[in-house]
Amino acid sequence: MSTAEIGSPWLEIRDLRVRYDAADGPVHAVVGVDLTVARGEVLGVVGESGCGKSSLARAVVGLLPGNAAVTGGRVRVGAHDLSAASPARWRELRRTELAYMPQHSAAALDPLRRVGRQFADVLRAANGRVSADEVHRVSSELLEAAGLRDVPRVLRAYPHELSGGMAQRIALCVALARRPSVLVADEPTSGLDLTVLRKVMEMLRQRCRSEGMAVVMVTHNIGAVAQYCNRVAVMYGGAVVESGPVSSVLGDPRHPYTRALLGALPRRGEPLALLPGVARVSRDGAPGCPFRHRCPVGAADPGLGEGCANEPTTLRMVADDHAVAGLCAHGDALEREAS
Amino acid sequence: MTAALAIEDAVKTFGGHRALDGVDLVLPPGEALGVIGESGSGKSTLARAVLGLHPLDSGRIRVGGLDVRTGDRAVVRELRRRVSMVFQEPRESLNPRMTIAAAVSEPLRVHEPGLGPADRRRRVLEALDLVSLPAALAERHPGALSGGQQQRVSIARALVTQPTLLVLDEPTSALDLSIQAQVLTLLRRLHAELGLTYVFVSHDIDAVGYVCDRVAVMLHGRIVECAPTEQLLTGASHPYSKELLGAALSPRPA
Repeated sequence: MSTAEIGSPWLEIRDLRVRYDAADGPVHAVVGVDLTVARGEVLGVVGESGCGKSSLARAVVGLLPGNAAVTGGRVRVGAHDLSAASPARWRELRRTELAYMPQHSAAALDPLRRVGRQFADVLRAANGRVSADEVHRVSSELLEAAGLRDVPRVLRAYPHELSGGMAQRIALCVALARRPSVLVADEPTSGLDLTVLRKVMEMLRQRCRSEGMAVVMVTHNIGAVAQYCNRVAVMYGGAVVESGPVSSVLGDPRHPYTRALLGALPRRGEPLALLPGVARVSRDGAPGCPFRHRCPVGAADPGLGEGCANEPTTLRMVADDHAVAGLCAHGDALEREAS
Repeated sequence: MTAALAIEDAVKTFGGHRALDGVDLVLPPGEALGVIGESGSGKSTLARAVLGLHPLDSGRIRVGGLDVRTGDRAVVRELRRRVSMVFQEPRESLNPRMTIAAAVSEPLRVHEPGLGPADRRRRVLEALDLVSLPAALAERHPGALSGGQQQRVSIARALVTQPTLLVLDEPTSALDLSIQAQVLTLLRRLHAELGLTYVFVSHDIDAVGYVCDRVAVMLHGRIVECAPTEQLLTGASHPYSKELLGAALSPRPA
């Protein structure tokens, strides 16, 4: 695939739907997600367990588990529509353009091969012949940037000789080594100490810019999104309920769920936002704002709540590139315009 | 007044590595103490040592005047009643085949064997009520509960014997934000209403800052600074505390 201008949309996800066939019936894990990521941009995907963010990540790289399938929509990388890609084509793309870092990514390393060999494996799978010197140069540079000390020892080590945090950073370096144009990372920083996390995120952001990579980072860590992502998508119940530039979404959240999520961040001396009820999965994939069952705004205004139930989960623009699902946030925007 | 917890020069090594390297700490009754530090700083070892799960190489830990390192079985039993622990992962600390009522009443069967079934039942329901769980959940199994409910069960189970000290090791690290909010709110309420004394061990400075009166910062098995929360958060004096607090990621965009 050819390079494109930094800033132009590279990864495009349109109306993506993922369904699992669970033992107790179907679960609609992703119910029509629209997202774009430009080259040189890091998109953070946040939301709580079961909101569909990992399913979204796996669908983008064609690695859904056996009991799940994409049931609608499409994923495009550059000029290539991946919706109709054959398994062989998916494998080829994952060797070259697409990189995926799964959750608990330390487990993504091959336990039987030394770290250095694993770099050689991915580089040669992507580029054919690559000299040992080149493998050494690329891997050392990445490992140093990720803050690992004694790189020669690390390259000779087997995964079991490394701490979990080290293995996690190495897995990210291996994923970056062949310079993919799209990186999808699921919780790449979970469990890392803050100083290490900062180092890893700085490296990721720097690589993303210099290589013109489109990065999707699934995370629970709102702070990491605020400090290191360009844009953010907030997911609830399989849908994106709000998305846009980090400064706009986190600085001026419009959707009631985004507000609840940010209100649950502990700030000394202030009460925490407590949401009644529990999150539920969609069994029918029906339209409507997925948050409507717990929405404090909808509960206070039954007319509005009914509207949110019937409204398809399309996003409305409330500010520059800042989109919000449901009707309540829209009303909020109208109110602002009127005042 | 006897300290709820008194640690003097605690040292614990694991194969040459000093996990605790001379820790001193005094916790008056009714205080909520946070312990923060990075992985390998010794904070979890400290939490476990308080329960006597890691016998010290040297030094002394006393809970309400009782020495944790004792050979006397009656004293050990009394210590286990006085100190309860809550772990990181509620799914792993609750037996999936026990009902909630059975899980919460288990410590009572051990520590208060003379208690009749009716009294035991009453205490279990009181403990569930304390953590705002409806009595209707008592006959359910952990699998039927949300993560936040499960961790509240762990806390109810820890409180049912009316311990004088609660030790929580990363109790919210595996939880979603909205569920963490429930657990933190509960701890603050128990601290304010019952004067619950606890040690809250976490790498999450914001969570610790939210529920603790005082915070100890650990590095290489030592407490490098221990100060009232407000003072530490606004003006830490040790260079490592400054570095650790400075590395925290603000959820507010720059």
